[in-house]
Amino acid sequence: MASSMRVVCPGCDEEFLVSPQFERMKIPAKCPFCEKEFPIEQAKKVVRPSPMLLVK
Amino acid sequence: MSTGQHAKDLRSFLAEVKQRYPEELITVEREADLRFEISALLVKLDRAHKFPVIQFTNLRDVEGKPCAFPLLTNLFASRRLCALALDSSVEKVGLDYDIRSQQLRQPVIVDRSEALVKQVVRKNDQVNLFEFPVPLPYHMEGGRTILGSVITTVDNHGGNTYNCAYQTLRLISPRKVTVGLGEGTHNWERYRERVETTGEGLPAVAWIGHHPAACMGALTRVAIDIDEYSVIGGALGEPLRLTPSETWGENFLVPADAEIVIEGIIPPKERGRHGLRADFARYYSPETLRPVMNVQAITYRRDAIYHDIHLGGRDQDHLGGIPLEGSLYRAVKQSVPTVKNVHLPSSGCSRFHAYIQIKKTAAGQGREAIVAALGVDRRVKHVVVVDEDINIFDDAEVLWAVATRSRWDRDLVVISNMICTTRDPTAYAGSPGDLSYHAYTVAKGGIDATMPAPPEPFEIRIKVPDEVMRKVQLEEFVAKDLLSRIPPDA
Repeated sequence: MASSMRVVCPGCDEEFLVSPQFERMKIPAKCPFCEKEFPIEQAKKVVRPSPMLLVK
Repeated sequence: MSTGQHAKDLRSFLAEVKQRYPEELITVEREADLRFEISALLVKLDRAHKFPVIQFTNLRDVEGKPCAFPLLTNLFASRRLCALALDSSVEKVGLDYDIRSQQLRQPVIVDRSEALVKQVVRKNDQVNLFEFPVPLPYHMEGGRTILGSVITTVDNHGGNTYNCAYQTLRLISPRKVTVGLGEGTHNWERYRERVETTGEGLPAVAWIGHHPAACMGALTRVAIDIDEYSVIGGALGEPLRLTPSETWGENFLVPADAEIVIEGIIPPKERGRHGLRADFARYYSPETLRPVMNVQAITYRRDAIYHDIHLGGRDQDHLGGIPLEGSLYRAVKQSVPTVKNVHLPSSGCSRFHAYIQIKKTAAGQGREAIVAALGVDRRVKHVVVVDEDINIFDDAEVLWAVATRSRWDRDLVVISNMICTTRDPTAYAGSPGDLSYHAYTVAKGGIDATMPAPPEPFEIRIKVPDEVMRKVQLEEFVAKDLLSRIPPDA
């Protein structure tokens, strides 16, 4: 789907996908590589989909 | 069928493959690592266009310990073997599947003593799902997911209408999993209704490993009030044998001839991380929150085979795609009675692209077929309609028809904002973060790549006379060993 976010783990620097549902519900992201859980605002990098894609 | 007869199951199918196509059943005895190695082998075989069923007998789990169970995978990867499972042909297997699954066969109930899946029974603290050889298939998956599990629920009223669907189980602890129940699916509706009306959790069963016709039967599109054990019996060509579960006895029957059965309760409110994982579209699906299942018992055969699905390859393509071909054919036939065949090619993950072959008798039938097909399943996105001389199992030939028989100002149909699968990477969300089942839309459409209907003339396709094609044998002109040494080109 076009609305997944890409985040970079502050623990291992690996990039992975996070559902925006998690950000909205303030659920920590969990890195699939090092299993670190962290609030999305603590990610080293967050790339959100362009709003252009979300609107029909 | 008397219950004393040997019923169709995974073993009977493997025996048939061994007899009919021995080169398509491979046992790998060398040690293999569940971390990515199985997927690497399967991806390489896919790329070589070879699709054998493979059984791994010497596995190391993700912690490096030997596994007690063998793993079988790629069961559906060969269309020829899928046809064998359904007594059909490569070309007609989707259509024949549909006919069979419409002929409901009531299941039969057998005693526990006759049920091979009851040879080993483990309850409560004896349960450890990590003992099963659940692979890590792709690099970004942070946990292990059971992919070959048919989640089964029973209606909350009469208790005799079962629903079955392939839904994933993500391992959380030895007795707990998250269940990939998608909103809007029949199992989800059972869960929602149960929680709303009783406040209690939903009993559920996951069964793993059965005859491939039974597995495909679990994917038939029928109304929620139709018993899917009976549908599976239709697909199987004989009644499905059931036996009482360990947890609910005769109030919840389970397939007696499965390899493994997992019994549990999906509690009302608890949600867990259904971790980041691969999906059918060959992309990663982000982590979501899904209902959990607390496992109460597992039963399995003494020498149980763990059946895994190769996600992202032909195995998974055919498992979902062949049943869908039948549904599309039935729907299109209502609008275009001269439809000849339907194929969902792997180039569209056997979901997104549909090739429809028709015998065109009237103008407009191409567009009729497109519209009919797009309404069948939310995953179907692009439809190409071709004439009956086009081989719809050959992408190149379908594209040739598009190249030479379509004019897009006239023959292209595009419909904006149709509901689609959330797994389409181009899908638009209605609102950011809304992951509900109906929240995603995408543009869909089709190309009418048919020739004009008769009597309108059209160019005539080149052709070598049939009798000469039959007469000329390659080996008579080019030595067989030389022929086998000529490398295939791109």
